[in-house]
This record gives sequence, structure tokens and C-alpha cells, in this order.
Amino acid sequence: MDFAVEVERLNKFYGKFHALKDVSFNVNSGEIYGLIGPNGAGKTTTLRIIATLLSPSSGVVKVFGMNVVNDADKVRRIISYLPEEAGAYKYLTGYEYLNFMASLYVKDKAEVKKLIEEAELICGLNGRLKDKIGTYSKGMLRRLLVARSLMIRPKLAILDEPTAGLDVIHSQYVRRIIKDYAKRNNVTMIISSHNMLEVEYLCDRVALIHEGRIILEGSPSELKNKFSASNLEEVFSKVVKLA
Amino acid sequence: MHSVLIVILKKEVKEMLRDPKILIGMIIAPVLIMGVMSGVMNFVMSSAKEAVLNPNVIIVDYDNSLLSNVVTSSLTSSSGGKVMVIGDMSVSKAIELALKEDFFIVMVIPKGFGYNVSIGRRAIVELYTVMKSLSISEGGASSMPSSIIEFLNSEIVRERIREVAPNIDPEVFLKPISRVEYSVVKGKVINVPPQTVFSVVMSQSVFIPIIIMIIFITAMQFASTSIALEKEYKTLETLLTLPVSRFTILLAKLMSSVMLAVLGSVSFMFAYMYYYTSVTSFGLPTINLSLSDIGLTMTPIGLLLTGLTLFLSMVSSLVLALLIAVFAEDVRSAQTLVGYLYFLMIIPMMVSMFTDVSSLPMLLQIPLYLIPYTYTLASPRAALLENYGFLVIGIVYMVVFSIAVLYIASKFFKSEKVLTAKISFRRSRR
Ligand SMILES: Nc1ncnc2c1ncn2[C@@H]1O[C@H](COP(=O)(O)OP(=O)(O)OP(=O)(O)O)[C@@H](O)[C@H]1O
Ligand SMILES: [Mg+2]
Repeated sequence: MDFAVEVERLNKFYGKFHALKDVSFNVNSGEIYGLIGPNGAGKTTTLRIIATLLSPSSGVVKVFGMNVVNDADKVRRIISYLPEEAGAYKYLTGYEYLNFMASLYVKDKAEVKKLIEEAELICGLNGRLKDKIGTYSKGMLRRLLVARSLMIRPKLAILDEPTAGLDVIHSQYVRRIIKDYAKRNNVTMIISSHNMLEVEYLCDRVALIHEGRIILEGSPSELKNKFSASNLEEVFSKVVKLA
Repeated sequence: MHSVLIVILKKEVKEMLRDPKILIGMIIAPVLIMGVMSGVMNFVMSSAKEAVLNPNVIIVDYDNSLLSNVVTSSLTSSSGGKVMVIGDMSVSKAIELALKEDFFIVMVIPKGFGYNVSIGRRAIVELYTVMKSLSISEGGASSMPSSIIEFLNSEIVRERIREVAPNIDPEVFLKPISRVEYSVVKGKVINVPPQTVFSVVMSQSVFIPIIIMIIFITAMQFASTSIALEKEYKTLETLLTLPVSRFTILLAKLMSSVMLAVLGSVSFMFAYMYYYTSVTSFGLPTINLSLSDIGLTMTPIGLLLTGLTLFLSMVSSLVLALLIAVFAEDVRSAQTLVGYLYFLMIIPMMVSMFTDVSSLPMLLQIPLYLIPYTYTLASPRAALLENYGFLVIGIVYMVVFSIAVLYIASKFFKSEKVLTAKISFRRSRR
């Protein structure tokens, strides 16, 4: 009950394919937890199960004590999920998109406005929010979507590769936003990433998934010490080669 | 839940109205198509009518007798077109002239025409009809030569009768029997021949189903596309993690598609009314009458039930389209899949065009009555004939059908299959 997220012996089958094998981990409240691993390791599958999109084949997943299967509706009220490669409605303006999303969480007009103001701060798109989303670049879209997922002050934010496909400047911007926001609002986050720099910068603890199993877990510094590596990238390649 | 539905519906409607494809496909195209159609019809009909009423005729009169002069002058005075009378020109030259100068008929009165008639022998008139385009207007005018002959025959007979019996109306000899036709519709006798009743009903029961089908198809494409687009633009995953029930999402999509279909129907109706009045304006005999003119009127109840049937068949088809779209991976597969649903429309349409479903063998009736469109197509006729029981059965069936399909769709929409079940046409093609 003290954990923000509890994952216990989670298994997932896609037909006959065993995508997650007895995955277990816990995330403390207020923690930024990183999932790393090679392509196809099972990161997105894990995040989608926590986000109530997929159901576990076996095992238990709880978010703030609520089961993601039985209490899916309650879980959805306190989480926000940023899918990898997510899009937005291209005929809406950025502002309308935020307004739409905010109105699903709060009823009062003034409250909706407050959430949108928060999002404006997060995304930093300023005047471009008045333009149709169809005219945005990939980086602008990602910033809008990050703002969308954080403005509602979720208790748990699930971000699947938040900076994938962004240039250095946009990546840094988004990373800084996420870190600032988490600190300011004491939000728990689970983040997956292929960028070890990003993971080191953001995450309090990291789990390395390989072929559907967690093979390593710890804080970035612990892991570096354990493998006497200078950065997480080295740890990653050493462990994945061993496995 | 209620306010959330409105929030989502607002978003759906905004997207819908801003998508130029939808605006063009649903509102502008129908008006345009109908406009072009009525324009073409207008043109064809008016030129056909002109050719029928006013054929240009060259008369080559080799006979130059008293009778042939009567013939040429009566034709000249009764025809609205150009009539040119020539005495000394070969037939081939006259035809050449007709081709060049836009004459439709070359009529040749051979030598001895007047003499033959005067001694009681059959005389001959040669008619050459110039077919330049083989178009509808020429087709309409092709009966012209025989009516000229008929006209000449009866003129000559009348002349003879007047000589023999000057005190009797020659028409009594020409047409001793004349007919007065009535039709019995819904047990009531109306003062209109049955062919007219039939052609009025047919012109409406062929045209309107086609319109309905076009509206339905467009709305179904829209409904399935609106879900498929969420997958294609990768917005579905986000949508499904929001604190909104999946049923609400489906319902919002259904409602926006219904709104679009109603909007499309209204624009079609206006276009149809425009078309209808512009065609009637030059008096096509079949469409000149409306259903009420021939005694076929709908009671308010009949009208209500027909409207409800139409609305519910719209809802049933949209629900089906949504169900299918839940499985489609992208827009293209959604549209291909929805395309298969058209068979469900075309089959009852074909059947109802040629026969009455209730007159088919039981084994064929059952599958047909399981298709909602069967009721759609049969409803105007049933309402006109005050067969309300049938309409009510259809309405009840379609309500059950829609709820069942919506239930199944939301069942699948709730499960993870909406994200993992994929029917893609790219993959299967390799
Ligand atoms: N809908 C699906 N049907 C079948 N197999 C799937 C499906 N989704 C994922 N998989 C498989 O499950 C495994 C894990 O996929 P997942 O997307 O979780 O990996 P990932 O760690 O997020 O990879 P990446 O870093 O490339 O995003 C992969 O082998 C993938 O092919
Ligand atoms: Mg992934």
C-alpha cells in the first residue's frame, strides 16, 4: 500500500508469444522510475498494462493500491499515459486540444482554465497553441503531449520514450520540464527510454528489461558501481551481452 | 458521464466540420451531383421534346397532285419545325441537304400518289429519318414518321367519310370505342390510368433508395473512419486511458455520425426538391404527378413511422460500421471492410426493385428480413398502403439490432482487442 506502483509476477502473452516473464518491481511514491532495455524487450507492454490498456495474462499490478484490472476506471482517474509515437487531433488547435483533455478531468470552467495555463507553461508553445495541430513539427507535438499528460496533475505519470525522435534542444527542454514538474508536484513517474543520458538525468531508480525479464534493478549510481562503468550505457551493453 | 459525453461529442463534431473531405463528400457533393444531374436531364429532355414536337422535314413532291398539295400544306401548317417543299431534286441530293442543314426527316411523295388514292389503290410515301447521333432525343423523335403517316391516313379517311356521310362525325367511324381508365388503389377508385400510378411510384421508389444508399455509405465511411483515424494518428491509446467510459466514446462517435448523416440527408433533400421541381417544370408526364395527386398519401402516423424507420436504419448501419472499425488497423482497411456492408444494402435493394419481399419463398424471406435495409426500402410502400404492423415490427427489430451491435462493439472496445486485434490489408498482401 505504501508503493505507488506494485508489479508482481506479471506475465503477458501475445497469442503464444511470451512477452513478459514474471516481471516484478515496485515504485515508491514521488519516485521517477526508469525502464530500459533493447528494442522488443517488453517496456511498452509493461507500461500499457500499468496504464490499463492491456490486461495481464497473470500476475497483479496495482497503482496506489488499486488493481489495474478490477479498478481500471479508478486508476484512469489518477494516471496519465503518454504513448510512444502518440499523435493528436490535427484539425484541433493546440489550445482546443488542451481544453478538450482538461474538460475530461475537471468540470468547472475556471479549473479548466487553470489546467490549460499550467499546460501553456509546460509546453512553451506560446502563440502556436492557436494553430491547428496538423501544422506542428514532431518536437512541438511532443511538447504539447507532454504538457497534456502533466497538466492534469496525475498521481502517476507513465511516459513511454518521452523524447524519442526529438532533436537535442527539444529533448533537453522536455527532459527539464519533466524533472522540474516531478520535483515541484511530487508526482510519481515511470519512464521508458533508450537514451541512457536521459535515464541517468531523470531517474531515481532503473530496471533493465531483456527479453521480457527484469535482469537488473537499482539507482544509476549503484549500477555504475556494480559494473565499474563510467555511465549507464556501458552497464547496458555489458549486461545485455552477458544475458 | 453526461457532461463528458458532451465534451467528446464537441470534439468529434469539431473534427468533422473541419475536415474538408467530409464537408465535400457529405454536403457539397450531393448538391453538386444533383445539380449536374438535373441540368443534364433538363437539357436532354428539352432537346428531345423539341425534336419530337418540331421535326424539320424536307418534302420532295414528285407527284404535285391536288392530294399531295393537301398533304404538304397540312404538314406545313401543323408542324412547329421547318418544312421545306421541293419538286425537282433526287432523293440522294435531298438527304445530303438534310444532313447539311439539320433536317430530321426526308419525305418523298412518288409520282402517281394522288392518282392511286383517287382510284382506291394504296399509295406509298417514303420517309427517310436522319439518325446522326443515335441519342435519346433522336430516339424520341424516331416515332415521328409513323405519326406523320397516321396523321395523313386519318386526314384522308376523314375526307372520304365527309364525302359519303356529310352529317356524321367522322370520329365515330375512325374510333368507335374510346377508353376511360381508372385505377383502384387502397380500395379507392382514382381517375388515373394504372401505368401512371405505377410510373409515379417507381420513379420515387427507385430514386429515393439510391439517395438513401449514398447518404448511408458516406456516413458509414465517416463513422468507421473516425475510429480508424484514432488508430492511424495514434490518439486511441491516449483516449482509452482517459477517465471516460469506452461506451461513452463509442456513443459520441455514433452520435456525431448520426448528426452527419442527418445533415447529409437534409442537403440531399434540398437538392432532390430542386431536381424534382426543375424536371417537372417541363412536364414529363410520369413525374408531373405527385403521390398525393394519385391518391397515395401518407397519414401523419405513416409519415412518422417511415421517418423513424429511416432514422433507425441509419443508426443500425452506423453501429455496424463502428463495430467493423474497431477491428480495422487503419483507415484503408476500415473502408474496405465497410465496403462489404454495401452488399447488405444492394441485395434488398435489387430484390425490392423487382418484387415484393413478402412474395418470395420463406427461405429467402428470413435472411432478407434480418437485414435492416429491407425495412428501409419497404417502409414507404408499407406506409402508403397503411401497413403499420410491418413498420412497427421493422422499428422494433432495428432497435434490438442496434442495441445488440452497439453492445458487441463496446464489449470489444472494452477489451484489449481494440489495440491488438488487427485486420490489415497490407499485411495479408505481403
Ligand atoms: N500487439 C502485439 N501482438 C503481438 N506481439 C506483440 C504485440 N505488441 C508487442 N508485441 C511483441 O512483444 C514484444 C515486446 O514489445 P514491446 O513493444 O513491449 O517492446 P519495447 O521494449 O517497448 O520495444 P521498443 O524499445 O522497440 O519500443 C516484442 O517482441 C513485440 O514484437
Ligand atoms: Mg516501446
